[in-house]
Amino acid sequence: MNRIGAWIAGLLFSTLLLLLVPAGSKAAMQCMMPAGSHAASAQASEQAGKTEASKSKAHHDPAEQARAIANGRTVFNTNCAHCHGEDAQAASSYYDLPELLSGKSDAFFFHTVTHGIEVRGMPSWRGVITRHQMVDVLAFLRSVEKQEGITGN
Amino acid sequence: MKPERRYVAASLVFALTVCLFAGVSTARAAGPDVGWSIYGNNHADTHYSPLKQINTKNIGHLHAAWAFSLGTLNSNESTPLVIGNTLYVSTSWGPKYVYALDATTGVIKWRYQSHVPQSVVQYACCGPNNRGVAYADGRIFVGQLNGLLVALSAKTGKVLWRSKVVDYKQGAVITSPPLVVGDKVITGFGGGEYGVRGYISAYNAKTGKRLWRTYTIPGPGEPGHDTWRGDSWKHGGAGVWLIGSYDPKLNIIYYGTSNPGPWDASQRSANSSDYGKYTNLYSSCLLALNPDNGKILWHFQYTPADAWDYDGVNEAVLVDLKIAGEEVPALVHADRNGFFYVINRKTGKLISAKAFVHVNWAKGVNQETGQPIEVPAMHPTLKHEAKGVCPSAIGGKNWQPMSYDPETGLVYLSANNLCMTAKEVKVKYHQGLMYLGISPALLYAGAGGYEGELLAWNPVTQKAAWSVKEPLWFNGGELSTAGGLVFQGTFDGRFQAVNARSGKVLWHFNVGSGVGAGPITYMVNGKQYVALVVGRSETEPNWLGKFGAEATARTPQGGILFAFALSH
Repeated sequence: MNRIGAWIAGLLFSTLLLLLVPAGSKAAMQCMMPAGSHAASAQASEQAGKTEASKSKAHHDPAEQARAIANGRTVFNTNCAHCHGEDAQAASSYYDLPELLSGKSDAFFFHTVTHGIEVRGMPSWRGVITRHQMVDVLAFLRSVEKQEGITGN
Repeated sequence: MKPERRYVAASLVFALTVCLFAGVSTARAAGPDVGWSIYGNNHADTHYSPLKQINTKNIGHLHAAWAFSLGTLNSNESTPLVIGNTLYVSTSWGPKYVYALDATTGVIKWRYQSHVPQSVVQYACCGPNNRGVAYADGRIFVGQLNGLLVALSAKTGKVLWRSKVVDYKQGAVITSPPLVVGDKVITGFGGGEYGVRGYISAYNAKTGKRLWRTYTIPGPGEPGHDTWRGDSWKHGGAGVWLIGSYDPKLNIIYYGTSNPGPWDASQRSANSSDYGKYTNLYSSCLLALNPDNGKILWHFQYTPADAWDYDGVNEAVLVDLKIAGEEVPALVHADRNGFFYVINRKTGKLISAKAFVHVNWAKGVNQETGQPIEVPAMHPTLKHEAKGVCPSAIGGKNWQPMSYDPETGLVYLSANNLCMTAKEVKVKYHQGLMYLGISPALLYAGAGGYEGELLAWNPVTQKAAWSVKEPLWFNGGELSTAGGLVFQGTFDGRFQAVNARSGKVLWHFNVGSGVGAGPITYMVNGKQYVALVVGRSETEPNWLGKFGAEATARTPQGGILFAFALSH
């Protein structure tokens, strides 16, 4: 191989590397993340969650807060209670939300509800529970945590 | 006494003792081994044993002989089998394991591991339970949560064949042991909460090849198809999630079917008690089928257009009764809807139906049509919240096996004294998600404040003979024996023996966790054992919020098999 040939080959190789590495490292990163964290998509969810949460809890209006909790409770009890217990009072530690959500961010909640956690048997609720409903369910669950004296997420 | 003499005397005593024990054990060994070869101990599903070494007189000497940790927690509800001196038992979570044990010591002979993924719980409405295995001609048959029917060598535990019964990812799981009739292994599956369309299938016991399949919801053009509104039949439920019974003389198998899907009746029938032709066949129904080809011979629907999740899957126990001086080939069935049915098992004609718990959703059962006479105010709809409906969705009796004692002529069953408040909501079908359409039902104890009872029921007079009140609902199944005893485990973790005639509690033992399974009994080398799987369910209580959590708070999760025998 002559020098020019080698130079062109080298250039091609480095371009390929440049193209491949970011995608590859991203995939590798996702594979290495422990179940439930999924940083990249969680970030997006967190932003969406914040926007919606701030929208729905505009000015921390107590009436709006009460509405969200009440609606969240209804949505929760209709869709989630079979596993997680009516009013999030689970009879089984496998499904105990105060335990599962303890120390977890809002983003974790939105990500889990949207995508599910297949290995644990948690289904994806995408297309079933709307984003607004999720925001309300979270408001309800946080109110349960408060009742049980858990704060500081 | 000189030391030598002392020695001689001692050895004489020793020799005498040995002879005495040898004599006793020879006398014992003279009796043949008596096993427990099928879920209900016979095809009639009576959960009765003619053994009487353990009886009302010596029950005080019953002690734990050995215990075996099943290796899983939650929903251990298996009824073991005993063939010869081997005991076969399945665990929860798949079953995760099936074990063959020495029936006299609990020592493992082999272990089968199913590798069913834990994620299967998404598709199992009522927990990762398994209710036992079946046996025939050197093979063990087990239905799995992942929709497979598996045959194992009874000698080695090696897999002989696997057949796919159903795609479990639609929310269809096998929790019951199959029924073996001749060379056929017959099974259904559960999934009434996920909008499956139920069916029963038969497989060749030697090869696993499917021989027939019968849908429990008639398709287009079949009789009964027009009992469903629009396309609702496609996701109409009617799963078959419990073992059937079999009459070899009539060559009929009897199966109950589950609730229709969704619970919201307006989507498949009417939004009221006035369901007209929309009865939703064959949901919440008894089916009599020909085991050779799966053909439905006749049916009896317990709860048409079921709006309460009364289901109809509870066992049909085949008994011959003397009614008004006549011998009647009958079947008896305690339905979740609160009525105790006595039906002619040859013709399907209703003989009688009476409430065995407090019932207020119906005034009674029409003797001619067999249909319940509904009380419209107790029918939950999209607009109407039905308050104080008895029994609740858990039912007057749930799946836990009842027992029929031919000597007392009584049926022993675990009744639930629960009522509910319920309202329905619209729901859309999504594959693999629950398809319910109900706001969570609020449950509470009915009149009297107790939640359950061990009930002795006379099927001829349709009256209670006696009852033992229990603090909790959802207690385990029954075993009755010729020893005049009824054995039952409770959801709060007691195992008790009761006088079959009087209901007097004679013996009890703390087994450490709640019980759902029915006990069994067997005799090996002249010694009678009583065995019981312990380890309460928690998924069903989970549906019920605080009410359920109160029940599970009474005992921890568990997974133990106990064997009891008389001590000397």
